[in-house]
Amino acid sequence: MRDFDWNHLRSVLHHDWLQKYITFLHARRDTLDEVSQGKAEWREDIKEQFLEWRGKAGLFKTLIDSCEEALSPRQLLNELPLSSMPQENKEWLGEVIHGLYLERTQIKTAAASLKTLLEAVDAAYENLLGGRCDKGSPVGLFIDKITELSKAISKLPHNIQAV
Amino acid sequence: MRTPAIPKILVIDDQFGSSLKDRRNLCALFGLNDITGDDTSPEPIKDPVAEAVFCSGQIRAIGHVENNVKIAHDAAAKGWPSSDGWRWALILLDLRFVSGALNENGEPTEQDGDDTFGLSILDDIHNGFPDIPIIVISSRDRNAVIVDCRTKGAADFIQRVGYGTDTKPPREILVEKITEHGLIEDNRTLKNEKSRIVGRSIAMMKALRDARRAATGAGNILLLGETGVGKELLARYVHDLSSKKMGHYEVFNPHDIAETLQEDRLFGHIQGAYSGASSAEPGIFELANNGTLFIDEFGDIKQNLQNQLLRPLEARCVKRQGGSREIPLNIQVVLATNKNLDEDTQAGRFKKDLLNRVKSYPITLPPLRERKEDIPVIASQLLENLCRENSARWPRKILTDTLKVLMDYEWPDNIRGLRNVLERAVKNNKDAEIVVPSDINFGSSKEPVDVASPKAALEIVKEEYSLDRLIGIMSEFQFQKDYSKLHGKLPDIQKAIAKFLANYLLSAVDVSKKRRAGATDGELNIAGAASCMMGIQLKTPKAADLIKKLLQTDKNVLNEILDKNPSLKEMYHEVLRLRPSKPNKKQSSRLL
Repeated sequence: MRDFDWNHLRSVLHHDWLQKYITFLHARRDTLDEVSQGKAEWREDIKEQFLEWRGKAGLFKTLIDSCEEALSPRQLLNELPLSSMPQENKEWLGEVIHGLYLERTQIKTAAASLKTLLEAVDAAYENLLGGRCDKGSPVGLFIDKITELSKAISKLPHNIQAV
Repeated sequence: MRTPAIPKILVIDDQFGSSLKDRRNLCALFGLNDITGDDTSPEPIKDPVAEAVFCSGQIRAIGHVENNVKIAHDAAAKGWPSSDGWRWALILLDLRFVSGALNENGEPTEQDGDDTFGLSILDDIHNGFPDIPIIVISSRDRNAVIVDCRTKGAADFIQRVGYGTDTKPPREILVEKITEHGLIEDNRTLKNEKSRIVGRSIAMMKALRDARRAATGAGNILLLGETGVGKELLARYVHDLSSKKMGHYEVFNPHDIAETLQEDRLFGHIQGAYSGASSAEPGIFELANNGTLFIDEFGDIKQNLQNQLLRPLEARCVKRQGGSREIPLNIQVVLATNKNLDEDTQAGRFKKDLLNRVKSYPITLPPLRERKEDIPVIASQLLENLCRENSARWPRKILTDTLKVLMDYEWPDNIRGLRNVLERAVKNNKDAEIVVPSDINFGSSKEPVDVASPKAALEIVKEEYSLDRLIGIMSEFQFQKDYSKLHGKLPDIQKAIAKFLANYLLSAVDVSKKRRAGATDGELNIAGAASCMMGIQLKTPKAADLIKKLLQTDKNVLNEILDKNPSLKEMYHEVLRLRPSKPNKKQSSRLL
């Protein structure tokens, strides 16, 4: 995925959607708690908003999976003037640049961490729906995990990383 | 009694400005009542922090949405001020605005996000309305955007992800921002409404904001402003909003205590510190420990006492008179003065060291003439208080024409003067349902002279006399048939009148001198000077009598007047030469 496409996806998912979703979770925490504990029934508008995560989770996975490539300086070999190099040079140079970038930014570690967080968010989501939680509030756990995910995404670079 | 209004804020955000579903969530989270008017069933919010109007900052057309600075600008203008007179407490502004194509359901399809469009709105609104506090709210990392935001005029920043801090709820964060930056009225819960500071002019709300900020600190707070602007009320406001609000609130005014007793009042004494000190007594500094000490008329404190205030105001400790032990204090000190302390320091009347210890956070209260838009609400509150105090009819309406009269006046004595005028109106007509223009008698907007009040006399002497001032005082003065009862009670006012008449004569003397063409000085002209003053032609003998009587208004001050004015001295000797007979013993040598 090209860097500008990746940034667009990031903006749409993180800035435009996730912030609203987190606002929703905080605002409706008490209601969600009551529902998860079986003390109240779902309100249609709240359920509709809550279930939005299901449709977005896959897109977050795509965002995380593609961040390594999208932010790699190897992308610059696809643009002028570097794109005018002979193909065989682009290949070895691309490998070198990418390797350096991985070493310096530790982006693989960040991406792995994000994947783990995403899985934790999914698990907390399912627990909440099922009213299950080992300790504490399932809503609280879901909010904590998704907020952690948001903060971790915020820390990702916004541009191709130079090496 | 008017209930202080809940703060009103403007939220400029593309998402919350257009999506009602998302807006309701934000309102629930921050404790906002949505008063935009486009939601037919907004959720009721319990104990709202503020009322909010939402603006998307965009123009929506069929098929697409476009960012538009003017939309945001116009929304800001509508509340600055509103048609009802209120003003935005602050604006919450997003940074990222998404524009582009919409599908037939009005939902975004391929859209472009502008991460910095909010900065364009910030720049525009700050330039157009520099007094509106603007808080940027964004999911962007604070460090990445704070420089741009602050340089373009943002007062603060709220980060959306976890809303900046992990421990404080968003509602609490908003309350903090409104308290620190917002332009809001005095909305304290008070037992006595008379203590409320009334007004929603920009100047007054800025003073209140400065007071709130000062109340969170630890340093000395200096309140500046003309007489009668409400410095004492603001001192109380600071106390109520500070961490010391549960402690005592003590007041010290050097005019309320004889000079010889002021030190003892401030610092107390140990047993046996002086003759008569049979037991130890704390001073007012100690009494205010864990609370607030308000020192009024700070600029009038005498120099020897100024020296003794240096240490308490800096190190927060005192020694009782006769004692050696330093007593540490946990105290908030608020000082007030109508003096120009910088000028007084340069003139040597006020210690520079002391000024340096108190002026780290000066707050200036505006005079009433600079906040005339507040006169209607202030007058209404004062009127209600006065009607109740004087068992007069209430409610009582102030007619629009009457308000105009009040608002056209310049109020040299500020709110105190307004109170006096309204008090006269109430006392003159206790049963009236309305206050009409003819009820308003400015006469003197100063406090009526209290014959028995040494404080009033002292204040009078301090001022340079003007004709208006004297006429005002004399119109209020309670003369008595037995004038011997007046003698000595107000020597200072008599002295002031004598000086005023001398100045009056001096002007006439200068104008009437017989000068040669081109000469700057000339020969004294007794008849001419007296004729000038009286407006009729007088012959020399009568003129001399008049001038002698005038200069002898107060013999105690005569020599002082003559020493300062060589022309008057020369004229006085001349009239004594012309009319050497002694004054009639029955004549009063005091007031004319």
